[in-house]
Amino acid sequence: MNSNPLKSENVCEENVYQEVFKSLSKSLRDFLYYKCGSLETANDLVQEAFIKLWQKCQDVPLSKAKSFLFTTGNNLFLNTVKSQQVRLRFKAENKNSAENKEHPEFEMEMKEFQNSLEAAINALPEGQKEVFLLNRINKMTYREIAESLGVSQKAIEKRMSKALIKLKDVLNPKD
Amino acid sequence: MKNWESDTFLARWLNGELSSDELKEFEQSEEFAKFQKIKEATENLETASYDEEEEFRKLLGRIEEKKAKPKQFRIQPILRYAAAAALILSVPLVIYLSLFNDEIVDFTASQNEKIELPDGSSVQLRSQSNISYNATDWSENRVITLDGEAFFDVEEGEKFEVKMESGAVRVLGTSFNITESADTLKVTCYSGKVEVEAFGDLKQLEVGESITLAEDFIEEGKTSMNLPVWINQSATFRNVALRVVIEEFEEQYEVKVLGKFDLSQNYTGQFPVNDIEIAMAQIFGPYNLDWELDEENGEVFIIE
Repeated sequence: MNSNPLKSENVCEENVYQEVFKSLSKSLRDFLYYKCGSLETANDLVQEAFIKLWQKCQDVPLSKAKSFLFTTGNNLFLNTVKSQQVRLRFKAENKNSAENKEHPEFEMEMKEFQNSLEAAINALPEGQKEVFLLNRINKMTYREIAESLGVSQKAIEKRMSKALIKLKDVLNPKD
Repeated sequence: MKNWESDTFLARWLNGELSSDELKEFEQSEEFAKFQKIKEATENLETASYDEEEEFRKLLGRIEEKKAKPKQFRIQPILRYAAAAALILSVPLVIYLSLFNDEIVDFTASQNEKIELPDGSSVQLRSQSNISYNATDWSENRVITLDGEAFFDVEEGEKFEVKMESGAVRVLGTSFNITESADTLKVTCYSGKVEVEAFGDLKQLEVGESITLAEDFIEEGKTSMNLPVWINQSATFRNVALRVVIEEFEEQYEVKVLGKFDLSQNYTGQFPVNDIEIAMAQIFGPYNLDWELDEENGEVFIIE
């Protein structure tokens, strides 16, 4: 008898483990990417973090898997890498494309703004940057981010608000 | 201080959580357009794509590698994992199993779980029940030890024996359910033929027969279901009289079914044992019968 009924929600179940991977790997990868700026490194750290999760599966209940992965990923990141710039993709919006062709200046202006925005995001303090991007890109709610990083939801909302003010100030230097 | 400068205001705005008054005031401020522009520009942001399936395959490979180093994993997750991974990788399982000369599998279910045995037979193990067997010489020696309750579906082959504290059950290709506790044993045969030896008795069971044994106690019974209820949380029937199904329904939900209708019609199907509304729809629906539940008195009225 080597399973403890109290820990029945653990991720040693192969299908549970795979579900966890499905639901969290992309946001974990992006979280690590926001930190280190290298896709290759981020992908690798995701693997390392999930291997650790598997090794600890007896001790990590399903409900704690997310914060375990984010904490582990963060620790692994601290051990390894120097930060680089995060590259973001601005999806072309179809409804504007016809308009853009007729107004090349508009397109230019848009492109310029996007470049400045990307630079401004990269200039954010790390804590603000990752919260901002996890919410905007990965559509994680403030509560989810708070759980993942092990801080209060209020702290996340403060970081988010500060990030927006900082972005506005950087993009509008005359203010 | 402007309202948007307060500590969580912008976060709430981004999330659409402002009150309409707060929002109206904010929209009239000169900074609003600047924030709005940032919001819109980051609405459709993306990062590089992530090949989740490929990454998961890689991950499995890396875990597989690490497994060669012993002691990092306990037997239970490895075996479960190896069985699942075998479908994808097929080779590592063999390597793994050959690392150990006598592989004793000892498994306790944390929930209802189906376990495939090496010969394709399967055990559906009820939550908190335990089985153990020797996986290495399984094909010559199909002996499994059970503590708790399990449903066995046995492939034809050598003698198949389930050992318990109270006795043993032996079969040749069949399916049966064992409920075992310290002092009683109940075996129900769902297909084929089963031989039960316990408490000094030796009994043979045919399809649909059950037997409950204890010290100085023996009771024979019948079942019209073709699977134990606990497996799917539902009662399953094949071609039995509606009367039998309704008796089972009355017992499961502790209700009385009233009303005149044809009880001799044949029923094939199943009903859940944890949701009376769905159960009634699945039993009476097919016969175009209407039903009304009087929860207070535990009665179900059938109207033709």
